[in-house]
Amino acid sequence: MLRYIAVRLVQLIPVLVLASIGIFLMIHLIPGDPVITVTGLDASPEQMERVRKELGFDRPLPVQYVDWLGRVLSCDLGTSIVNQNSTGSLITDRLPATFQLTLATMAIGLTLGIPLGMLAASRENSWLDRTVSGYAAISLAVPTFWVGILYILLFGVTLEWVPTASRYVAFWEDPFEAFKSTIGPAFTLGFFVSGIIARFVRASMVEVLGLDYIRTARAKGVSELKIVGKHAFRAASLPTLTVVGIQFGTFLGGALVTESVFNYPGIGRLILSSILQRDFVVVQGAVLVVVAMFALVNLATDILYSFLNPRIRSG
Amino acid sequence: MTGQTILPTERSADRFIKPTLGEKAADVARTFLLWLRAERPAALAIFFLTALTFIAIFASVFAPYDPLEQDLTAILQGPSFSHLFGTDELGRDLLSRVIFGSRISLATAAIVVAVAGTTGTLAGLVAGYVERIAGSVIMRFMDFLLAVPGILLAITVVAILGAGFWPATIAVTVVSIPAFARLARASVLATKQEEFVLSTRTAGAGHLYLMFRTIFPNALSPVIVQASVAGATAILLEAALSFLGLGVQPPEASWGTLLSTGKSYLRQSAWYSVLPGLVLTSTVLAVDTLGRALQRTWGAGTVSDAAGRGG
Repeated sequence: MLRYIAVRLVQLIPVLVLASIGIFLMIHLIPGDPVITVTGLDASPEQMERVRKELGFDRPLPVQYVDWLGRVLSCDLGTSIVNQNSTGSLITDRLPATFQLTLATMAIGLTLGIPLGMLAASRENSWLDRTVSGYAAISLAVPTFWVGILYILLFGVTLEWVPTASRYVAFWEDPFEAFKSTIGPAFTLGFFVSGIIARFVRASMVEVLGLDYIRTARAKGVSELKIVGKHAFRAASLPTLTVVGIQFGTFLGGALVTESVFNYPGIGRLILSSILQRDFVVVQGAVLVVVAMFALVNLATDILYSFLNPRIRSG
Repeated sequence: MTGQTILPTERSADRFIKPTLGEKAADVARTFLLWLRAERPAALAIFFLTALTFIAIFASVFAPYDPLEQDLTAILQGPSFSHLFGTDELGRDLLSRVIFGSRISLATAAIVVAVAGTTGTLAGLVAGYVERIAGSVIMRFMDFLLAVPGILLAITVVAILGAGFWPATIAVTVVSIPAFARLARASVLATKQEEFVLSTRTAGAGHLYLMFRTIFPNALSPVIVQASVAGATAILLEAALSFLGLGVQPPEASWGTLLSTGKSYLRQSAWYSVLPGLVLTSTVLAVDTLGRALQRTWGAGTVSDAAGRGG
């Protein structure tokens, strides 16, 4: 097991190096002189040259890349060229908010998605099954920003239960406030995820329910509830895990649009505003962190999967 | 689902004559009608999309007002007989703006599906066929594109190119390519070692013939299903980019822009952000429904339709 994890971790390195090159190149293709961001438009050419030298932007791209990578490896993601904050601290400031949102999202997605999928699978081709399919189809087709708008319209404007803009309140500091400020974006994203999960749970359970051992269990007189809830669900939970992992990784990367709708201060908003301000030091640092987290979550999912699935564990 | 249909080839074999073009067309039409009867939701979706396309093409005929005509005496009104969708913050007719906005959504979807579908499928065919260096270079590049979340990649591309209709369309195209490439590559790898491919090769067929005439037809149905999924995702992504102000620029408006301005006037006019969203969602749902029906009919594997959405 340890060997497997080690091999997978080593395999991750070339992927991350490639990703870092890709990100670096993409960011440097963004037009507009970053020096102007620092000096302002009315700076003299000499001033701009000096700042360019100070920031090291006068060097050839490969040199800049190697220098950047070297500093990234020593955990220095550079300083924002807009507000002089260190990129590392900007990211760590936003991470808890994104983390809390992602956890809440997955909690909502799982509590809605799993029972819906199980219900649909246990009554295959019934009206219930079709209703769940319809629910899943809608959850995938509705743009998250519209769900967010409808949520704000209903709970913020009409009922006035929640403020129309979210802020981040840590759960351990004030659970009630945290709930109120996170539930909007979490529900918006959770609705989307619940459809994916419901579909996956249904598909894998339908497959499992047709297997011999389930027939045997039925023949032995095991109750339907136990068959669906225990025997079949355990087998069906494995493929579902992969989907949950992918979604978890994606949302850790920041739900840019949803965070914008709710003004929620997560990683996504940080990246979006940095791109718009051409603060490419922050963008490349944050995107690299996001991609690395995404890769690590996928890896963790794979490891968990092989840990739970004896067929792969032995192999 | 269409089990009762008599296949055109069977019937013509009975008669030992080639069916005429008219007979062929009649057969295709009948198979299609039978399919529509079996797939009611898909029939509804096709009707909706055809109507929408028609309205989009002849927008100036269907729109009751000029979408840019302002009437400052009637701003932010709710739906009424003279303005079915109400009016916006400058008194422009929202229904007309939604109708003209449909052009942007549908054009984006069409361009993205055509361009990303062709490039992605070609890249995947080559990657699956050559496998060696060219194949792995192509797939590593696709892996990189997939490693960055879709909306983030799209925003970065727009940041490079500047906001507007074409930059947004190019961005969505870039995001949509890898899915086609993966799919095409997978079906090439699956069919490459089949007897019929090997025998065609033994018979002396060249690489291009093998790739396009022998292998490609087998990849066609999953690619078509993916095309509908990609079309729906393209509409969603374009709307998201416009919502963030990175798509078409004012005074033109796409559905995403309408929702974004509508959000600022939630208190004054709720309909402003409800109705355009409803049209947007129905459109995406219709394209998805069509794709799912095709997928059921062809059993074309599982196409990941959640990728690139949400966020």
